Amino acid sequence: MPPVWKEFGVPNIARFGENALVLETGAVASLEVQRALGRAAEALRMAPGAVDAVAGIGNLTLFYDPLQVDTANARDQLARAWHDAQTGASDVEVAPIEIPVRYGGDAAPDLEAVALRSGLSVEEYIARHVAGDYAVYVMGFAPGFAYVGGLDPALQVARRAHPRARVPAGSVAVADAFTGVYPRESPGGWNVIGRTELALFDPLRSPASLLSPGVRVRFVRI
Amino acid sequence: MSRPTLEVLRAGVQSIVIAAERTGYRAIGVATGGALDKRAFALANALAGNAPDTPALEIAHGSFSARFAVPVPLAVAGAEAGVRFDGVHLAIDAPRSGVRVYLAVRGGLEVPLVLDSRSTDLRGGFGGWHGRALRAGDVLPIGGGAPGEGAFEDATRSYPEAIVVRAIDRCAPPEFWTRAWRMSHQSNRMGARLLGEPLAGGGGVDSHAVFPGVVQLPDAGEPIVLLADAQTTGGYRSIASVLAADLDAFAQLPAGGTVRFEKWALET
Repeated sequence: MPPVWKEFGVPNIARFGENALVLETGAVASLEVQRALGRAAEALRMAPGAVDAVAGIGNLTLFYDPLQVDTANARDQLARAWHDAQTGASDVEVAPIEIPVRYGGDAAPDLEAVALRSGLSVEEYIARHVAGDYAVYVMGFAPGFAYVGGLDPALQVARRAHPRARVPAGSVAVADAFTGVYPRESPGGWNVIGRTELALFDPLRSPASLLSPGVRVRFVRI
Repeated sequence: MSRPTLEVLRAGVQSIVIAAERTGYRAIGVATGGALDKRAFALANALAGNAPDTPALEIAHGSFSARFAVPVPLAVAGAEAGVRFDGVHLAIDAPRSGVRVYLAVRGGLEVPLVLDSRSTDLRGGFGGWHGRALRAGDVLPIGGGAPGEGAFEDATRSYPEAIVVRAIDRCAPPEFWTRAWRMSHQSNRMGARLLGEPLAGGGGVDSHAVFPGVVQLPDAGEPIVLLADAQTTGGYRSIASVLAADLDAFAQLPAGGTVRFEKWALET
């Protein structure tokens, strides 16, 4: 298939601190934009002088080593990576990462409440969560924690008014427009609806993180 | 002859193994970490006869003691505290000035390399000594082979309780630069929480990469300066970024200490 030019918006690149540049895509956040940002970040990490590249919601930050690449060249790399990510590479379909989830029960203390607030039965809520087409929008909060976007608007609920001191590892949760999985036990305010046994993050494994920006995700009920 | 080890008798408030920064894993949510006061860490290692970034201890608020299985040369730097060392027993009091003491032993602490660094990642629970702060009873192996004399270098010093740091403007309200800010006791390795008359213009924005030095402005209007263990992305407005060279000062600023920001123009 020939590459298809996709214009998501007019990007703007600005310096951010001493050794970083941030590209604002000017695009409305969508699965497609976030997947393209993930591809651009991946490509940028290979660029000469690049230290790291981090996708945000509709934006992309390049950290560079000023001893290896000057700001003007780093800026060009960032602009080119975003341009290339929008043209063609989206034709490559990579299989989504499947996360097996046990919904409900003791490991899902908030499922009934969020279903009620959404005006759905527990079964409907689960079915629609499983039916979603998701992608990782951004990583953050903790190692391996992914803000997974694409959550059905009907399933979206605010985070808990009182965060829990301890959310167990593997907890599958929803908050606002996102769903996600806690990689290890930590404090947290998301609504927990299930549990996975999958190790989201293992620093001794390669790659350490199961999820990374832009990858597609599916939840599978077990 | 027994192996050189460091046995923790009193662990203090938070004592962790620090080494080089962990770079290249921001994209999967892993902080860069490393020493909060990089100068004091480098000085301690240099005085102990170690290469830069050799694994050492960062001891917050002192009240630390340890026993060495065999006499080992060591050096301390950072916060001014009473330090006693007789070649085998080491005791570090609560600092009179500053917050963090750095303890380097010749040969370094032997901890595994995880994601390219030996530094502790407290949030992820890996790196350093089993991914956590030290506890009484921990026995850490010391590298380097042959033990030397129990030589001791003390380069601890006093630190000011009012600091001025340089920062690059992004979209900070004018009052950010003119007001004095107070260090909150809720500050930690992730960030220095500042107290003062709230600023307008804070709140949520689209999540974006953040890094040590970034000044965030939450809705409540009191700035947070992100430090070494900062999360990799954030959803608060990033109004400025403190120069990396000036971040060390936050490591030694006690709760109640004051900060002023001086605007620094980047050459383009």
